Amino acid sequence: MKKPASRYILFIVFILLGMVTAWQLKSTLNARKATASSALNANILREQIAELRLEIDELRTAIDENIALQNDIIKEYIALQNDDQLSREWEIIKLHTGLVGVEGAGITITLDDAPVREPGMPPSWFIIHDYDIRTILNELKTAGAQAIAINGERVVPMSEQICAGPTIIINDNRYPVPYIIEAIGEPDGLYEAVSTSNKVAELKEFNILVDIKKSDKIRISKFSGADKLDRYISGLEVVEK
Amino acid sequence: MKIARNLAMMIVCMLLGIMLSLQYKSVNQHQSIASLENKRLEELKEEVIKLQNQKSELQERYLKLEEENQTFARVKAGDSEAVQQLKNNLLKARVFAGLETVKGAGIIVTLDDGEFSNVYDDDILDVVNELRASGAQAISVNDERIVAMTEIRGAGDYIMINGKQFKAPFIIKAIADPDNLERSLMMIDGIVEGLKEFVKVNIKKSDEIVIYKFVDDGTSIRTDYLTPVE
Repeated sequence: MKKPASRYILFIVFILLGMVTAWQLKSTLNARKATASSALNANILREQIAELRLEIDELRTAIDENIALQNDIIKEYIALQNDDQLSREWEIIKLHTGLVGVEGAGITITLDDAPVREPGMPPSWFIIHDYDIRTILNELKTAGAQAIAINGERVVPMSEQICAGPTIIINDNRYPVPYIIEAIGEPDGLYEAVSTSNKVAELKEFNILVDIKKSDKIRISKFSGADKLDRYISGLEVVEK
Repeated sequence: MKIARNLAMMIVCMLLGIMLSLQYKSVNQHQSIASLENKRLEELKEEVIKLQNQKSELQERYLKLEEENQTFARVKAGDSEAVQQLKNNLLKARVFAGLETVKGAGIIVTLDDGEFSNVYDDDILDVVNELRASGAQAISVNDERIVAMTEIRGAGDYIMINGKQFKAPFIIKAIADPDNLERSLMMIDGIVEGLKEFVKVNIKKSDEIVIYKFVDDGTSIRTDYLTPVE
């Protein structure tokens, strides 16, 4: 009687062992297959992304060339009109409003959140807010800045600066810290106005990094929406004088 | 003999148990690795879709510009259609720059000194920024058009806008979808709620608001430091 009982036990043990081995084999094979196929897919997708990026860059260049061509034709046309006011206004539109890239002397301001936060004080005191940027821009405009960009985004008449979590939205695009504000204008005047402003003193008190540098040559690109102005004036109807 | 056999059985059973638990762990791990890979794939797929959308938008813009430029090429020859198109583009740029008087539906926000506090430059800046963020296409403060380099800066009893002095009340006009503008201004814990504690705020929607063009007297817009780069 004792022999069969131990046989049953062995029987059950080996059934279990067989099941375990089969299960193991299946799972290992599956995993191998899945990894192989997803690696293949990922590679295809990565290639596709690289290709798309290249095409997008090419399109951007082609668009820029066309805009430059258009500006040339407009410039020629305006020159032929012999109308001083028209030419002056065209200068304002292009240079001041941001429809072309510009270059000139000015200052660069770099702002970054405080590296260390003091315990017991709210962390929001040690980071840069949208209103800080707004005040500095206003300071620059008052001091006679002629063109301004924040992280490369040209400031145009309806440029907003709003905060969205740890980032700031400018011209519908989102940027994280550090914020780099570039301004073209008389460098000494701009430097003086910003470095002695209450805002900068306040920021420095909270260990926020403020770095102001004068420069002979600052380059600011044109407004990112320069070729789709329709979008920004869709609700406006011109009133004749 | 019996003891030896039982011992052997025990060892086999223990081994089996250990194997089972190892097995269980390994299968679980495989599964979680597989799902991680899938997630990465998802992200790549999303990126592809995003780039494809961007590409088709740029393509559209490119084709439109190409077409425009074909017409533009005839300007020199004096083609009237081409000149008209050029004038149209010029007008759009002028409207965007704030050099044309415009009208449209929008909102009028009036800020006036409160009992204990005056209207500060920051108050006006905040309202103007909020309006911009809600899609305003043209803004004026006391009929002074807000252009790219317009400052709003307190100086003694006055607030300077485009180099001119102004005093309260400040009438801020903006053109865009009036409901949108009102909603974002009146947001709970939003800008108007904050301002109302100190100054008088009045908001009025309107179907037709006229915003005057920027008056260029040659002093408030200067471009002498700017060299164009194409």
